[in-house]
Amino acid sequence: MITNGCMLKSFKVTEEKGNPLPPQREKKPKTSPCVLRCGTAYGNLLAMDDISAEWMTSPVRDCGSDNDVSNDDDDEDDEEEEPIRKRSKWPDLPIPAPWYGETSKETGFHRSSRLCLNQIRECLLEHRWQEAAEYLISYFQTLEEISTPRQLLATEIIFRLGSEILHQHPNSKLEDVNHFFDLMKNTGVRGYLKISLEHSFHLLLTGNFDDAVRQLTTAESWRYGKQSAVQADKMKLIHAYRGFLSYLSWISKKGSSSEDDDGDVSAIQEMHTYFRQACISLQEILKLPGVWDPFVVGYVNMLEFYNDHEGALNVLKEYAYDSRFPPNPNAHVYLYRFLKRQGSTEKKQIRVLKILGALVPSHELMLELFSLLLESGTEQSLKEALDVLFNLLDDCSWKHSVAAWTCFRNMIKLLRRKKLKHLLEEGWETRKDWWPAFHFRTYHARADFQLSRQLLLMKVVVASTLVGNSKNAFSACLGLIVPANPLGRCFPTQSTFLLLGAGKEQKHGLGVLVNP
Amino acid sequence: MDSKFPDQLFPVFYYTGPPKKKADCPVHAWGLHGHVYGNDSGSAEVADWSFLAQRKVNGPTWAPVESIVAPLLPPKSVNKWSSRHLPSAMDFPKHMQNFYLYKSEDAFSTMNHLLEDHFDFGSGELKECMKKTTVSMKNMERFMSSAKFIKCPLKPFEKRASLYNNLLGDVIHDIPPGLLGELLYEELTLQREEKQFNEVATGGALGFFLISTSNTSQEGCLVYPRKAALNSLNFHKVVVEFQENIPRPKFMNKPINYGVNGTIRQVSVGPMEESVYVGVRTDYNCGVWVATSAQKPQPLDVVNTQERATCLTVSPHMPGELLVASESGVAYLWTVGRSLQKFREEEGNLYFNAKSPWRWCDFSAHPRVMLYADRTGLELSDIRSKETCSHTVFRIGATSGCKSGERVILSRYLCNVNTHHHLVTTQHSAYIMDERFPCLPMIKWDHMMASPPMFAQAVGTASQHQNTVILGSQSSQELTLLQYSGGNAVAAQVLGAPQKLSCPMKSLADLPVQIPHRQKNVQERLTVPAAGIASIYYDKEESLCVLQLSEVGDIFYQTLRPASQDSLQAAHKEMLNEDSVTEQSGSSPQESQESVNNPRTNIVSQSKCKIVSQSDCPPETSDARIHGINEPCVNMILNPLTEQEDVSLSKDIPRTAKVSKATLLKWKSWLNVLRNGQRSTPRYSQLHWTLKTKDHFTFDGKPRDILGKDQITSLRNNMREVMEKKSVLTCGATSLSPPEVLPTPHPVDTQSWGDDLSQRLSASWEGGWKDWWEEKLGLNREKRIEELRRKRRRLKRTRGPRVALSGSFTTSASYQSDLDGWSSAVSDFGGQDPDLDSSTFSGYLSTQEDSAEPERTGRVLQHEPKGSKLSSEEKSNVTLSRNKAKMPKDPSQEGNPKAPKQLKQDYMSALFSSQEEVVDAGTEGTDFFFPMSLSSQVSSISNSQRKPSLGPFSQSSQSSKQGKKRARMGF
Repeated sequence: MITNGCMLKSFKVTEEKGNPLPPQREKKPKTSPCVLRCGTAYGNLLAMDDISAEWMTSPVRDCGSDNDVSNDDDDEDDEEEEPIRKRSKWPDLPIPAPWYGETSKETGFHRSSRLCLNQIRECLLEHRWQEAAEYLISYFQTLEEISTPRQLLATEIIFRLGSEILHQHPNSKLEDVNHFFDLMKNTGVRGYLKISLEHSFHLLLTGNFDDAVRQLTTAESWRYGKQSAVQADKMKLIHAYRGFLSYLSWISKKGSSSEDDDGDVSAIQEMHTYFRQACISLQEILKLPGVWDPFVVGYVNMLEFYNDHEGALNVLKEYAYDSRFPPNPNAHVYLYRFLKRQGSTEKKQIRVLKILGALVPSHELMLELFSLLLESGTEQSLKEALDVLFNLLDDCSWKHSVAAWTCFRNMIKLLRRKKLKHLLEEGWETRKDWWPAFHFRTYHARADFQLSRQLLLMKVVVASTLVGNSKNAFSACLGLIVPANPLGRCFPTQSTFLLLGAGKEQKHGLGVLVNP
Repeated sequence: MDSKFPDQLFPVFYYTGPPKKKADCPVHAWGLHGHVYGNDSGSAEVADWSFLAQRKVNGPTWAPVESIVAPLLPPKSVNKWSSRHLPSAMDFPKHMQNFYLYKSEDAFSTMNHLLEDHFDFGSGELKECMKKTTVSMKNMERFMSSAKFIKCPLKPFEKRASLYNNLLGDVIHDIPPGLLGELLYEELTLQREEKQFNEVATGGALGFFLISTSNTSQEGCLVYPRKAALNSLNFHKVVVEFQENIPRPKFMNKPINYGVNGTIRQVSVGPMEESVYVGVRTDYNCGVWVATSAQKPQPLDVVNTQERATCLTVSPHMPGELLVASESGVAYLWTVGRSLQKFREEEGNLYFNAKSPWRWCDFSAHPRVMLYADRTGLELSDIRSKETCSHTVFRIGATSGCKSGERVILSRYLCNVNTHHHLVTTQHSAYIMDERFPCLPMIKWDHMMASPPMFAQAVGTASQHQNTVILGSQSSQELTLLQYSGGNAVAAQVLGAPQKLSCPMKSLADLPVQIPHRQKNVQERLTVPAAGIASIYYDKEESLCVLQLSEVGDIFYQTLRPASQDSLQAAHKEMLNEDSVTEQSGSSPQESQESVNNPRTNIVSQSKCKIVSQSDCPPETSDARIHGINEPCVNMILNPLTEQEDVSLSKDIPRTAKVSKATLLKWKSWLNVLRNGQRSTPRYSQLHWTLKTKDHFTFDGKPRDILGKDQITSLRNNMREVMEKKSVLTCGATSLSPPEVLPTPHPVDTQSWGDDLSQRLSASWEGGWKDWWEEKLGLNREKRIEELRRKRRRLKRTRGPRVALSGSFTTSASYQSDLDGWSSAVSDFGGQDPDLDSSTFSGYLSTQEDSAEPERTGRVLQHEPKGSKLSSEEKSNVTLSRNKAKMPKDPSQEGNPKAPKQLKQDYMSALFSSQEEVVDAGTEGTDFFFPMSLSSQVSSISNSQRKPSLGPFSQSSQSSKQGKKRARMGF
């Protein structure tokens, strides 16, 4: 009745559309300014004044399109656009290919190894290590794979699964693990470096420092024809870790030699050897972009010991300011601490901390920046100090920090003294619409009181100052806590009890929330 | 403490650029430590240093209290739930056929009206003028009635149908078939995609908030959708109580429900402060409710979106603030009761063109900095500044070690775990990002899930050393538990390996088996994709309850308790003990052991059957097959390889199915409700040609079972016992009376059949078909006569007078029979040609020689012992006689050539060449058979005369035959 033949053919073409496209070269489009203040245009969304009832029962009223609320005519257009949108959605998400699924050209060997792998996976995912070990014994036969890629994959899989099982199995011993690692290292050359590194980690974690060093030394001297990029990186890591372990040996030598003051020359010689070894390897890795916190710390520590302050500073500056490196907050922290140790000028320290503050406004060193800025005492620096404090308290991790609120209270006192309260108002201007709800709610008062009375006191002072300035004192909440709490005895004057509600907004929007 | 940033981070290379890795190795979750750094403890001794690995291999683990999930609510009867069968886009002809058959009104109505006058359905008399232009539809009706049946071939009407098609095919359709087919194809493709991955459900439609905690119980409220279309929002009070040391969630009171206009896609719950905000997202609406611990939830506000909404998040910082994102690419801050504030709009995707309109947004540690995400990455944007101020948190690329094709599925701000951490999930991995150090993930897991994780829950445990993340996927219902620690003072560390929690789909295997069609029904119900997860953490008695919502509104839960190292060791010890017990007694001590260990929980152990039942569990769904989880052949392949291991496997304790009685009862009632609530209404009543047999068979209505009820129950018990032992149920093991022993039937006596056909068939059964015919046609008459003569001569020569006398009887008898028919004296010749010596002849040729060998088979068997009894002189005798017998054979054949008979013989041999071979083989065998038969003849005679005590068989047969012989002698 229906002739489908030709249609089938034509559909096959469209079917291929479903293949996921490889991600294109990353290019971040320039984003246009799109932050709009509230209350202007609602965009595609429209808040409905009378809530609920309509949505609950009646059919949906369509909302306005951009800048235009009357859009009854748009409905047809929308319907036309619908299928197009759907169609464009097809190549949306590449579902991961079921690698473990059955393939059409599968030999019995592959099939059995696939099934076996699935079993092992299931066992591992359910933490049945013993059963997984039994299955793994059978899985070793996949090493007899003929094709090279598959064999490599099998080696990798066996290494991963085997080491995991050995780590978790209740009966496994260190010797077993060592033996397994040694075996796996020589099953194909690709994995040698990786497994060596992993092996040394395992030895380190189990407290065999010397064996780990030996492993790394052996791996360091390993040579094999052409190396892939991954292998080259692994080699660099091995060098770096080798250097790091030398540094650790250096520390132990340093400690032991400092104990007996006039250490013999050989011990100092040995220390120097370790230093040189560590220096060479760590220097290399620090040139490459990455996160090298432990290495940097060690390297700088050694340089400082040998009074190469210039070199240490260069290393730290490079680590913090090189644009090839990721924006690591710790890099700035190390630099700041180094400068502090060296007793450099406050100006330099402040500069470093400011950069850190731009990166992470909520960093704990911001309190130090605050005190540094206070010390300088100029109006400009006071303004900056206030900004630092405001930014710090913007972050929700500092919400309950007594130290931060105490700083704020002190700052307010200082500003009052210096008659610079306008600075406070400037900072408050951008926050007055949300700080009350964020910091000064009855709920917060209760929670803070349970946490620490000190905290509540500081916050009360700050709140009264800030909100009082904007002529919106809310003493209504005053009675909420006071009668039930012994606070009343601490504060004889009522004016300090300004426990604030949510500000203006509470009257309509959030008023519902306050639990009488 | 959240304000601290780790002093040192693990070393890692910083790569930039697009992802390079391919998704190949499927085991990335395991085996590696990642990186290591040493904690400089200030000690001089190297041994004192503690090293920290990026992945701590032995982390604390959660252990499920029971091995299956339990239903929390009775199942709602849902008219239909889609099975997990993925629609294939190439099925569109079938759908078109259905459309034409069952919706013919819609398919052909226009042409139907136009042609109505020209078809006659036999309803009334036709006018004269109309007769020429009207077609009678009598045949057509018959055709149509048969077309209703799918199975019915249209063969009888094919020609007519094609004629109609030629005539009307172009015009009859309201919708052109080409267009319809194309649209159907598209729709089916879309449906398939959506079945595999339906992004609208991202986030999950299950929420929970805590109301109060006491020492023995915890009270909270579960927010979940109900009804068939998931369009009713329920707030239901849940109490987690400890029953027998196992925490169990229980619903209290009645739910408060609100009808919602559309399927609920996402439920987002804010933190419980003095009140809690619950955001609900449907496709084109978002609503918000507020609830307090004292008052019942109230609806507050609603917005509609023109494009489909993709995200709704309730602020963890500020009451009454929500974020809304829609497919148009715009993200809004929605302050309840006030306004919407657009803070970000992106036409395309953030980092590269992923062709996805999906957008997501979330909060961050700063209440005025929002997270904006799509499939390519996450960005933080400050909503205070006028110009866009945004920086990357995460992007798909080499920096975070992504694989090519990887996309962001979900992001979640983990406020309750660490104020700076965000969880990002992709198809392959899950990342923990610290917004203070963007781009590089603090933690990367390979979650090993088959379908992308769309739901996530994070639990910061009381000790704060260990944060638990639970990922849930949609189509495969998987739940994966991941753990990490640190992120504040020390660098974040992965704890342990990913752990898979049980899901409803798998639980069916541990439940009692049901009748197949019900089992299938339940299985279909349980394999419905998940729609959301929630978790309830109870810190007083550390326990974690994980709830999972399915797309038909079922909620299942499972409870986890921390598995301490002690308990693990205890389990291990226990296992060792059990091993020793098993070795000693050889019985199955597991149950007793279990019950001794857990006297209170009444746990049923099924560990032994576990492996088998796992392989038996539903392999039907296509995804499960893709998984390879339920491959039924696993054991078949593995068992032969590891037969000894199999024993040890079954001894292994870890995979035990622990199901308490309470849970089983819950499941039982759940299944009952499901069964009763189902209406079996097939969509089309008649799918097959049915034949009514009501009148053909009568049924008297008496029960067929002759056994009593007691007997049946005892039989069932017996059966169960036997099945446990895996042995065979024999009659002796039951209480039934032993069945009557039937006597074995008599051997077939072919001699009793006298007719030609029977004889021929009997002969040919033994391979003597050709000979029978030769015999019948008399082709071998001369040979026979010759043979007879030779024999007589021989007998005269060799035998003494007494023997000669008996011989004369034989000859006379055989001679007489020779006179009766032409075939005689065959019996003696049988030794030479075994094919001739068939039982056919023995029927009417009962000679003395024959009597010694009543049946051919018997004879063959008996030859050898008899032959072995021969003395040496007899042997020499035999060889002599054989030579004599052979010698005259040839001249007899050559000497008497008779033309017509020769021709006949040629014809026969040509015809029966196949038989010839057999005969040849037989003649070859004469060397063997001949002496035997002769010797037997000789021995039987000599024995019968000299040694009366011979084998019982020969004697009896001889005596019986002698009786016959006497009768003949008398004759």
